[in-house]
Amino acid sequence: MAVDIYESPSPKGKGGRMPYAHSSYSAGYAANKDPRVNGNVGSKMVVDGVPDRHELFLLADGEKKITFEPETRVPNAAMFTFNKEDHTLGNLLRAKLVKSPHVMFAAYQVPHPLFAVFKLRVQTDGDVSPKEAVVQACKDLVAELQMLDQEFTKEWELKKIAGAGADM
Amino acid sequence: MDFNTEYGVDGEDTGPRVTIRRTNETTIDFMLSSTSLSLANSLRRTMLAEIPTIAVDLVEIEANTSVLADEFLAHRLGLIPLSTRNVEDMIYTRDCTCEEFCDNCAVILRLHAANRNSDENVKVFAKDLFAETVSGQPIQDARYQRNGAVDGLSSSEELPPRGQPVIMDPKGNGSLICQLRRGQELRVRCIAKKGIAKEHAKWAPTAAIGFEYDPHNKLRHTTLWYEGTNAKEEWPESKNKDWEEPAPDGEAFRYDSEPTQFYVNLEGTGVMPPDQILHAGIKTLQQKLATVIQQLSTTTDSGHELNGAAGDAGMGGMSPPDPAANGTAYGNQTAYGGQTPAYAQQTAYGGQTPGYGGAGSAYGGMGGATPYGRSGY
Repeated sequence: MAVDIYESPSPKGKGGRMPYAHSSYSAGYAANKDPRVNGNVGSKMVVDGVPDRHELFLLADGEKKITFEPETRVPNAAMFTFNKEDHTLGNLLRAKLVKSPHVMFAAYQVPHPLFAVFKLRVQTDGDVSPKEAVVQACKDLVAELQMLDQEFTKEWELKKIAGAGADM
Repeated sequence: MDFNTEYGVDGEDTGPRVTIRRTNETTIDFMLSSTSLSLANSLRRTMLAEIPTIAVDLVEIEANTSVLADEFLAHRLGLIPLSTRNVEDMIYTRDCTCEEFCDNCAVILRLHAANRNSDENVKVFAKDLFAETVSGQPIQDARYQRNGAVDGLSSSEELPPRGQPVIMDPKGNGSLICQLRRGQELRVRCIAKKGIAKEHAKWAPTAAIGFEYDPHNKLRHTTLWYEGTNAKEEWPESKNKDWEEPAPDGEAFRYDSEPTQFYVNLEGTGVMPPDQILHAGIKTLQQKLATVIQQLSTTTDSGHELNGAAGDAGMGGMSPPDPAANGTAYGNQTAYGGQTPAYAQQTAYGGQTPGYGGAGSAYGGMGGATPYGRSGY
């Protein structure tokens, strides 16, 4: 069995191997598990150039989550590039950063919708570096989410105690 | 940006507020207030696309003489809701050390149905899927019946064991997979894996999330189309209208006001109780943010990586399978854990997640060395 051919495109070179049974189908996308690779009767449509869907959220080998470069023409500004992230994080960070008194400018952009990358540009007043501003924004958000979690747990328990009946 | 430590257990005037309006075993209708649109929306997006659940991912067809094509069946099997009880203990197959799949990263579901000699069609349901280990040992089949959710609030204890089909209809059948005529047979082995809905919607724990704010359109984020003379006459009022005051007549438009109240109707598929969906969404979002903090703390202000950062030692030579995990000692370096004692209490997740911590994968790499590690970030 041409197992190696079969295995190579899987994200970590694992978990994508052909099961031993004589015919198998992926219920998911998994062009890398295409039964036809092993000469079985298959039906998976293979379209070249379509990226695997795990590329939306799994960093490629050696890829970093975030890289950033200071802007050379503007003081206290930096451009952050977030890999394998989307508006979920981009807009959240942007909205938090613009509320900080130290941040003069914060905006994000998804350069191309087919690539799971966004860029965040931050300029500060110089009291904190752009990196520190982003880190602080993240910490505040983690804390805020934690408060939300506790608040929800509290309300949920109260609702449970109240019994409430099946009220929907 | 002054949240840091000063908040108590029962929530003070700062911080988000939650009002639960209605619930049942799959749904919560609640109001979120004193928070930002971006946070509410990010939470919504996370709950839709990034909460780990379990779904059939590979199907080995041993015999199929039904009228449905193999791949058609494979697709249907993929969409069957499977219990996510204790998914935290499960590893992604790609992170697992096994060869193809094992009991740590997969659940096997077997289906064998045939119509030997009946003129009536045999219906094959999700209840006919039997869970077993990779080696073929049946997993104790607590063929469970949801007992009508008496109080309208379910808990994860009501879910069947991990990977088993979730059956919620009164007859206890579950989803219909196919029908077999006389002489037709279906024998398949399904491999269910952990995944997220960003990869395929079959991993979504939610059926839909209703999300509304500003029912009176006070902020004018919406332009209402109207044919006659007045938009108000032509548009039905939102059912959330009674939760907010309409703008008084003649008041000037406040262009700088922001939405603070959000009406969320969180509708799950049943694979996970709705409160768990919310908790898992919050946790997933926090992990995302924690990855950013961890990554930036090993970088200088000019964007260069700190070499030989404390973190490398922290990982103790383990090689994390995921570059994102490049486990620099999150807690150690940033004193992050120390600042926020509230995290330390939050061990509910951490305790249950050997999948994260033990395997040295993305988050628990520090294995409890810091409050962060313990809480599974």
